[in-house]
Amino acid sequence: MQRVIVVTLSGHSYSLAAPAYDALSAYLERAEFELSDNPDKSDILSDIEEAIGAKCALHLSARGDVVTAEIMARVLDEMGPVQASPPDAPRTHSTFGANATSDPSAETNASRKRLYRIRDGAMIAGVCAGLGAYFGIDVTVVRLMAVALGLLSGGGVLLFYLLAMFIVPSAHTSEQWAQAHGVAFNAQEIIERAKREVERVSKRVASDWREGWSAKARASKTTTAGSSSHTHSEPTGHRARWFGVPETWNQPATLGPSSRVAAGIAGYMFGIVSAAWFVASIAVILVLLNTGRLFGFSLPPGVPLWHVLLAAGLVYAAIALPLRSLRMASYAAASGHSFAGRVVGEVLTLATTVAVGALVMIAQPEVRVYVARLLLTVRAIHENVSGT
Amino acid sequence: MTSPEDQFGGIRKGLLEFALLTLIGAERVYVADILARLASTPFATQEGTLYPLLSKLRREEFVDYEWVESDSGPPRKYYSLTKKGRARLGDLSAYWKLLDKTLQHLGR
Repeated sequence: MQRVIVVTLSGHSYSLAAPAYDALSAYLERAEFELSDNPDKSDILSDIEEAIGAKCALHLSARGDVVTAEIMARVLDEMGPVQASPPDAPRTHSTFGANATSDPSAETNASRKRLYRIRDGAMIAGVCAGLGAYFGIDVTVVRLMAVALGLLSGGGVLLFYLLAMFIVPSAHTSEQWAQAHGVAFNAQEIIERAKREVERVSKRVASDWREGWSAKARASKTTTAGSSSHTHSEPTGHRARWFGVPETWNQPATLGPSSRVAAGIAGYMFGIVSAAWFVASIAVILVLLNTGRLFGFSLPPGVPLWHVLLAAGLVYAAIALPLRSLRMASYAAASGHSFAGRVVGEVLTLATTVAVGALVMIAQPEVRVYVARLLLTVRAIHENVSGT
Repeated sequence: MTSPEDQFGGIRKGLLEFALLTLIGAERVYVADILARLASTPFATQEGTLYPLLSKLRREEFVDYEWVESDSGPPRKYYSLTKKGRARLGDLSAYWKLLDKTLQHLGR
């Protein structure tokens, strides 16, 4: 038995097998995304739907009345991917070309390298391809590095990738993009966007709060206040004083359940602050790569970019590492176990990553398209195996 | 070594608009005509590229279309050049001839 979906393409009805329908939806969604800036979007889409319908009819006359996945695949292949037409204005410079002007006092920002996502031949959203083009490294090397880093850092690289999808604009070809959006993409806009994302993520985390809160309260009841908690809570008190938190957190070892809960909440807060700092830092670095400007100030011409990146990394670490220790110490104080705190911390990081992922799914059509394609592939494999 | 096709890939892409204006300038055509005429040339293209490009040319008022009933199937959009489009085609041809002449000249 096969499920058949009836669709109307410019006035004519066609029966599509479920996989064919999925393929068509993915194609049209992709087309819609590609044309999102085009004032004639609905006209073009209806032309395209009509053309698809005509092609289906052509292939159908020979066999059966249901458009199968194979027919749809052939039709969509004949259509070719919908590409936004090149910008109307003539191009003045190459975007990825290194800045070759010999006059350093000239306004270099226009021709400075910019970081884009490149979706031609992208695996997911073209972040790796964009980074590869930016640094002049082969994409495969970038991908391998990403996978290696992903294994080492847990959720970190994934979070970076998702953020980059949000923040880095995509270039169909780099030149087209520069002409179409060059000016609109500035540091201010990015910081605003990053702030909004952090807010949304925090809100979502806050709604899960009660659950985690009670779980932690339970955990704190089951662990006994032994000598181990003594050693762990000591640094908490020290740092907490330095941070100017209430005196109750400063008590060693024999923390009451309520104080422990407070310490747990504090740890959670530090976790959120860390996440926000991470997001902000990545945003700043991406903006720097893309525009060569930061908060409206351009870099002095003599300073190589990697110096700035190194400095940015150091600033990030200088704030992130103490935050991490604070978080860990808080969890340790809450649970009486450094190990338990670590696990909770990692789980929270993972949860945040998943939350960001879900947000990206909602906000970025191309991710939905990717997931739809993935589902199609899975279904195709399944059907091959089960022989239907 | 890259093949001539690859070498001139970007240029061909950029010339597609010029080719389209030339084609539409010669006679009134609809999309299937255009695709068929281009298919055997280096400018072969697909609906996914052609529709957005045509809509852009229309927005720039270089081409316009009118609906024409067809004996087989739904009515078709027949495209033709506007006055502005004809002037544009003239400009582009002139510049293209200049490029061609320059290359010839350099080879001498």
